[in-house]
Formats: sequence, structure tokens, C-alpha cells
Amino acid sequence: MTPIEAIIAVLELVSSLSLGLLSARLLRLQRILGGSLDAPLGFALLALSQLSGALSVVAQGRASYTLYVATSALASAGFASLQAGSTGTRKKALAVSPITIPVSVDLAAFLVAGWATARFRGAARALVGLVSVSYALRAVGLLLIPSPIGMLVFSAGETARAVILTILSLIYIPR
Amino acid sequence: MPRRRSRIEIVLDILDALASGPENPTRLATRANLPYDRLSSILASLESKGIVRIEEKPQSQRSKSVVLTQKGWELLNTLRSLRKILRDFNLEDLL
Repeated sequence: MTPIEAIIAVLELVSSLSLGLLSARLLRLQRILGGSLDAPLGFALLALSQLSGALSVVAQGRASYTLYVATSALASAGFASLQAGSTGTRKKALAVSPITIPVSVDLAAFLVAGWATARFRGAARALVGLVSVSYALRAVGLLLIPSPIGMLVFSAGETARAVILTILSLIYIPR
Repeated sequence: MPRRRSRIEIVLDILDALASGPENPTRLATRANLPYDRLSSILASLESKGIVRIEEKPQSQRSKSVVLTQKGWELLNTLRSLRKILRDFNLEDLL
């Protein structure tokens, strides 16, 4: 594992823990007030996505590939769930399906995250928008790998995603 | 023009007003900036969830007092810590 990969893995673990904490707090709120489970579920899926991202860096071979695909799939489902939480509607077309091509999943995460930002405000809108772009970078980078430019774009997307989701989770962590 | 308050913001205003101590419904409506009938329906919902308790004042059977329960304090603290995320992720009306 390179130093950059180690940093990414640590950032993803930190954001996973923070997002998990947020999910637990929202679940507590939901238990008191009632209502939809979409928001706690959305943050739980994002936490799992970040955990999967961290593990994909550490794992080797097929496990790494599987975790890599799971990262984007879980993020797509998480953002879709958050979007459903903010509108009270579900888009059946966005239900998680067994997507196996990493680029498709990254592009799905890019589209879903970008679509979800329309309902968000403030820092959430800006940061989720940037996360969306980072998924597009991952997809484009992966298409161009093994060229050096592909590696560069891919690493930029990975790093941006890890950093932005860490910032997002730290901004919104309950104090 | 003032922004319309979400359901969560209204509940938070009511709980904030009760955090300083028991309050009678009329004064609570003023402090939470709500019409009395709207407050009554929200209080009934909060009471059914165990968030507030409505007590008869011992000195007068006609006067009532609204008290925050333990669960109400827990909700107040949770809402205060999640206020920003609920607003920015547009989750205020749906939880």
C-alpha cells in the first residue's frame, strides 16, 4: 500500500465513522418523532460505502474489485435514499440493481449524487456536488487506466471523494 | 417576508420555550409564535409521543401547565445537534 492509499483509507474510515454516528442520531430522532427511515438509511449506506472504499484499498485482487464496486453502489443507494428523505418520494428506477461494471456504477453515483443536490442547501449542496464530480473523475480515470493520465485522474477522484466526504461528515457531526 | 417555519423548527421553538421551565399553553403559544389552536394540536401530538406532559395546576383546576419530559429533553438535545444537517439536507418536514 502506498502512502497516498493509506491516507485515503484513513480518511474514508474517519468519514465512515462520522456518517455512521449521524445515521444513529437521525435514527434516534426518527424513533422519537416517527416518519420516514430514508434519511438514517441514506447516511448508513454512505457510511458503509466509505468503509467499503477503505477496505478496497487494503484488500487484494477479487476482494478489492468487489469492494470497489460496492463503494459506488452503496453511495448511489445512499444518495437516492437521502433524496427520497428530502422529497418523500421514491424513484423506482433508482433502486439498487446488480450493476457489475465499475464505470457504470461510478457514473450512476455521479448522476444520483448530482440529482440529489437539487434538494439540498448550503454546504451540503456544494459538497455533495463535489462528491458527484469526484465519481465522474473515478469513472473517467478508470476508463483511461493504465495510462498515466488515467491513474492521475482516478487518484484525483478517489482523493477528492475521501477528503470531501470527510469534510462533510465533520461539518455535520453532532456536537 | 418571513420564511415559513418547518415542522421541526416549530417543535424546536416549543421545546426551547419549555426548557426554561413549565409554561401555560397561552404563554407558550406567544413564546413559540403560534396561534393557540395550532399549538394545541401540536401539543396533543407531542403529549401522545411522551415528549411533553400537560398538568393541571394544583391551585386552579382550570389552568394547565406544559412540562418537558425526559424524552422531551432528549429530543431537544438531539434536535439542537442536528439542526444544521436537517436544514441543509431538506429533511425538516419529513422525519
